[in-house]
This record gives sequence, C-alpha cells and structure tokens, in this order.
Amino acid sequence: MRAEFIRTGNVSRYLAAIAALKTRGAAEACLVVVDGTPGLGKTEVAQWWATQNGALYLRAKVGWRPTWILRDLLAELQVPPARSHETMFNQALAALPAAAEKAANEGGEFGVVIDEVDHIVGDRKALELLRDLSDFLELPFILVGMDRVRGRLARFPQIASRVAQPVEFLPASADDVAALVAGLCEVPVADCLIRHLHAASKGRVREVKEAIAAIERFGRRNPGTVTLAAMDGQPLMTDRATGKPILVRA
Amino acid sequence: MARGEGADGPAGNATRQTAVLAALAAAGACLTLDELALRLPDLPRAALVAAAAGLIRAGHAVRRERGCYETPLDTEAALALRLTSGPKGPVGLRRKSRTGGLRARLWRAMRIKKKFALADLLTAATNGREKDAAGNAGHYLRALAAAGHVVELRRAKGPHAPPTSNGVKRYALVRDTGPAAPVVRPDGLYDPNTDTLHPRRETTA
Repeated sequence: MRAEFIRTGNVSRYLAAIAALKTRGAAEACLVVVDGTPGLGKTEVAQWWATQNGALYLRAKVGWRPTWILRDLLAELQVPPARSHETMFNQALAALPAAAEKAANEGGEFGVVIDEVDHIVGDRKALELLRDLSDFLELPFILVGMDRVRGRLARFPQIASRVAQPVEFLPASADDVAALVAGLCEVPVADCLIRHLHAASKGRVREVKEAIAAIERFGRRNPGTVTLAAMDGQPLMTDRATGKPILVRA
Repeated sequence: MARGEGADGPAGNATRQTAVLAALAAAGACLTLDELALRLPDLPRAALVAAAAGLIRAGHAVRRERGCYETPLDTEAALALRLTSGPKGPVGLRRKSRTGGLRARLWRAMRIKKKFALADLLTAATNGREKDAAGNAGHYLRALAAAGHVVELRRAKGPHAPPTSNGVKRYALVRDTGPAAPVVRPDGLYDPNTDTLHPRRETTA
C-alpha cells in the first residue's frame, strides 16, 4: 500500500474549519471541536495536520487534571515546569507565542491539538484551563474526540461559546473510498469491488485500509484488475464487532 | 559590537510593551485585554496580546487571575524601565540547519506517534514534493536507531497476512529530546536539543 495521505471530505472540512478561524468575528472563539464515531480517521487527520504545520499535539488521558495538562504542554514546549500551577500557566503563556512564531516562520499554521478529549470533557477545570490559554493568546485549540463531545461541551456555556467551528467526521462517501483506493492501492481495482468495499466498510477508513491491503495481496497473486467476482469468498476485512473476517460476496 | 547592537546596547525600543506596561502600572490593579484595549485604542488587539506575552516572558507582568494582568511595578519604575526589542545578546553566525523540511516533519511525526512503521511516518510527513521520501526517511530512521533515539519493535503482521509474511518493521521513539530534529552529519548524529554528537559507530569487517 502506498504511504500517502489522501484528502477525503472529512479532511477538507477539517482544513476549512481551521482556515475559517482567520476570519472569525469574535477574537476569543478559537476552539475547533472535531468529533465522530470511532474509525473515521480523526486521529490520523489531526496527527497529519500537526506534523505538516509544526502544531502541538497532546493526548488527553484519564485523570488529566489541569496541573498535569500544563506539565505535558510545557514538556512539548521544552520548558522545565515550575512547581506552582500559576507559574506553570505563565510559563505556557510565555512559551506558546514563540512556538507559534516558529511555525509561522516555517509556513505552518500553529495550534494545539488535544486528542482523546473525551477523557476531560466532563472536567470543568480542565476545559477552563484550555479556554484560558486559547482566550489569552487567541491561538486555535483543536479538541478531537468521539461522537458525543459537542453535546457534553454544551453543559459548559463558557466553553461552548468559544467553539468557532464544529467539525463532524462522517463515514467516507463512495467518492472518498474511490479516492482512497486510487491513491493507496498498488494494484488496479474494478469499480464493482470498490462499491462493495464501500458498503462492507460502512465508510470507516480503518476498515477501508484493511480491505485495500487484502485486495493488494490478492492482486499480486492474480495479475490484472481485481474484480468483485474474482475475489468472491476472499477475506476483505475484519468485523470490528465480532472479530470475524468479512468475506467478499459477489 | 555584535551585529544588531547600537552604541547603547540592542537597537529598537519596545514601544508597545512600554505602553502596555505603563497602562498596567497606572491602573495599579489587574486589567483585562478589553480594559487594556480601552486605555490603548491605537494598538491592535493582536499587538496587545503579543506585548503582554513579552512582558510576562521578561518577568515584568503576571496573569494574576483568569483574563487579568498586572505588574508589580509602580508608574515611576515602569517608565524608568527601558524595554528594548531586537536581539537580547550577541547575534553570531549560526550554522544553518541541514535537516531539511522532510526530516523536520519526520521527527515531528515520530514525536507525535511514539510508535510507528516507516509507512506511518511517510503518510504523515510527506507532501508529495520530495524526491525520494522513502529512501530519505529510511536513512534517517537508521541513523536515529544507531544513535539510540529509536528502537526497533517486533514486526507487525496484519490480520490476514500470509503465514510466510515477516510483517512490517516498527519502531518506538525512546529518546525524545525535543522539537528540533537531530541532524545526520558525516561524523555522526548531532542532536541540537541537547547539543550532543552521537558518533557514528565504526563497523568492523
């Protein structure tokens, strides 16, 4: 499988949300919330964007309280953390603009990605800390989590009002799946098999990539365009609910 | 005299920081950004943010409570402080980093992912404009492994991989020294985060 990043509809919506921050009306509305069911590629997109732009990427954890958040943030910024929360906060305020300037000098868009934000979405103090940092420095904070993040954030109006751009990740469309196959698969694949793959995967990118690997292995053993009929009965992907293989059915 | 310095020291007056510091000192209490904006209407909001961050960095102001900033200095002391912009010390010649854009992004991807295969790094770090991304990345990964920044994990096989498949090589970043990408040099791997050279190991026949 080719190691390329394919821009699907979800990626376009993510990038559009980041770009729209530049023209936002309220200066403090710097939060982007990215959510959707598991397997749609949220983490991969967030990591790709952070890598390409020199943005910070942090992963929330169970029990990730404000002091721990600040220590992790300062570790990413290579700043030895002080002992008090107040001093660490001021350290972060001082260090984040320098990181943003460095990213800007290299042509990147700076921001702070907080992945797995579900771990802290019920913690008012943790969310207020992120709001404070984002408010003061007017830097984008991109909160990435599973499908109920936005609903749970609505319990905190001060946070919800800062969300300039919500981005809901949706299952890959038929066009997205076709683009993924064209971009990643190293053997030619017939449209009939691509349509079957789209239906079997239910648009989940993880499953689509697993199927592409299966189609490639089959295609290397059987030269020519791989069709639905040719792969009939072959394992295509794993059913995430049961762990059993999903076979191609022509 | 170092480059960038005038006869009295570093050139450039930090006029915006001076204005924000004077406003904070005159208030004698913490001010929000909105209150600063009212007192300094000629300064754009972004400039207020940058100036306040600079004052905090220099230790002349603190964020006392949520959204509120103050200085411990009184007006006289604040106005007597000569804040300067520009270099804070000698600006000498610095060797330009030879990491190149791709290796900087590869290092960034390794720091984000922690555990990865080569393909994972290429997917995250390439932008389609590189000449031989896979070759370049493989060379870099081997240099990092030789220096001990990265270790090889057991190979991973996909769920339906043939029994004869060896699986895919995977690595873990075990020495994350910082955001600056280590540089491969003829004499070894130089890590700018720690200012350390990891000498190239001689292989014996």
